Amino acid sequence: MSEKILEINDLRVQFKNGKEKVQPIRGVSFHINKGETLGIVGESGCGKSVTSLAIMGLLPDKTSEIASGNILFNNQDLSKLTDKQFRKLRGNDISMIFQEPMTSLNPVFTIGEQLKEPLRRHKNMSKSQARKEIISMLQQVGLPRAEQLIDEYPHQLSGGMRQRVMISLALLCKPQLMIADEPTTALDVTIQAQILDLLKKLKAESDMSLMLITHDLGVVAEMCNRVVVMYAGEVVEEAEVNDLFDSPKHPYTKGLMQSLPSNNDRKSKLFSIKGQVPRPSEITGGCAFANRCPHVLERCVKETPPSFTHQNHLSKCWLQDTSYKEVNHDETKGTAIR
Amino acid sequence: MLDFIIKRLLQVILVVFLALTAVFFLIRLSGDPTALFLPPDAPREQIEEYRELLGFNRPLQDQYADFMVNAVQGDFGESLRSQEDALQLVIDRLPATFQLAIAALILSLVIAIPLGVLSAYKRNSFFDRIGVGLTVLGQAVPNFWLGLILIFFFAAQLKLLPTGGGGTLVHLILPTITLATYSIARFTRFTRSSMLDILRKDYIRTAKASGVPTFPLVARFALKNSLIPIITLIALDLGTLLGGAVITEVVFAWPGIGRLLMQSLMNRDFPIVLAAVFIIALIYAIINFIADILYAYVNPQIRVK
Repeated sequence: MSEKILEINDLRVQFKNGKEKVQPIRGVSFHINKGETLGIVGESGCGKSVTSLAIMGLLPDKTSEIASGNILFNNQDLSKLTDKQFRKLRGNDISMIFQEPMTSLNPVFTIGEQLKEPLRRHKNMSKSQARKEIISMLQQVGLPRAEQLIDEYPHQLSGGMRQRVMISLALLCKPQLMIADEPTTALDVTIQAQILDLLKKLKAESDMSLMLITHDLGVVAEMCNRVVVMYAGEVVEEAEVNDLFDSPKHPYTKGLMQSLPSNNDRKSKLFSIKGQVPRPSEITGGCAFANRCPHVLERCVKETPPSFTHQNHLSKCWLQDTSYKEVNHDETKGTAIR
Repeated sequence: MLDFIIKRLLQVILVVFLALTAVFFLIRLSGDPTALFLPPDAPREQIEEYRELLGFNRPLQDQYADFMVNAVQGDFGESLRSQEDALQLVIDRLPATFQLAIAALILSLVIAIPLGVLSAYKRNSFFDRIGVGLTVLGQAVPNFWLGLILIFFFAAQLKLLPTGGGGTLVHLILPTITLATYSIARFTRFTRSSMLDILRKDYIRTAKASGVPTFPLVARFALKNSLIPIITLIALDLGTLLGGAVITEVVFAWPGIGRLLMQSLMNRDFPIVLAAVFIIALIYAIINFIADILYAYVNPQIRVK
């Protein structure tokens, strides 16, 4: 078994709004091995982004907290780090690309002024060294005329170019783990393909691990080694990528796959999973997917399913109970208990 | 760029012209200046003679046309009282007004910007609440009242500072505080809200994610963005400070344009009033013009090619 770079155990994140408390992440566990690409899929609001912000320590400090669980990065618990310690990791060992390239760069500073920050903070580079490094990184991510670009402002670049700038910002300190939160969602299709190719290429050139958050199963199939499927703040299925596409176990994953439009029959209506994602406050007991599940059993409403694992294929569904024996999630220490 | 400058310069001229026109007609509503120069029991012929001499008996449109023709050439006439050149009298008062306005502006920026930034960074804290409360107070307190209260405590009671007059730095302290109070409150509130807005932006999160510590994050990456709207406000306020410090100047007997304007209005010394309005409007328009250029400097997105 390869070495784990990141391991999340039973993570719960809590948001406070006045007296109201909401847990958008309820007992999430997964891990990323060194050098692999892990895909995290799920619909909007299922907790993908909150999980990534928790890893980066970028959750809003006044309104949210990590209620329980831990995040181990190279066996160091990130949830216990002080601000200062965290700062040494951010942009250095762990970096992140955000969804919105159009608003993620500061409009009043040049590309160079923004990109030199991680180098100056983490690597103590001199100005001229940093400049050289930035130009070579901009070239590596496929940006033309990097020497001029470094002195230009974000508004002078297109969305695709800005996302390339964001990627180069994330790569500058050669991080061990890069988190990409829907890096292509805001871009048009041809640019999407270019950015994904670029990520793949950069990935192949280093032993960096990549956590790719997306709701696009096509992207997952293309890019990832393993996949984690999230639903309403929980991990409902986790498997090796081919395994997941060949034999999805959880009804939610199956639903997601059926929802993909196929090329052949254009006329038929697209499949959709019936119902709505429950609000965090509506989830009381039982399986979070029970109200939308086509195979719902009496047991599903009453009891929360544990994680069933069979040949490294994890699924949180009672349907798996008859054929497979219940075991702890064999790769992470704790089972997702609720 | 040249197009832009020419267009703005034409606007400056228009603003000054309109201000002069409005004031020219409005001050004539205050009454006939001759009435103030002659004793109340002066004979009718004498009043008429005086009006004839000063040209006040001619049709209003002729007076206006004459005034404009002369004004374009920089001639605003002579003071009705002292027979000195009106424009020169106003210009002589400029340094004092500038001194007070700049001092007030510097004081308010030095206090307001750090305060606003800190308030935004620690929003809803005890410090922030107190700060917001004080800024509301600062905006609500009228200048003349604050000026009188300051004179009462620091000059009359404690005898630390002079009650009024100009000339030395000591004289500058009370009027500067009086004049700056409103601006401090305004700038602080504005900086706070502008900063709050910026701190929520995606690019601040990006900078944080690349390991930028809190201080440079706020003081460099966020502040430069939030300064953009503040520059407009500063320009507007500086215009007001330069031209409209009338009340403060009167309260502290500060020898600036504001006080001269007030006195001339009382005396119906029309040439001085018009010359003062001319200078004030010109300064106001020019400062706004400079603000536009500064704007382009801080915000590369509107930089004109």
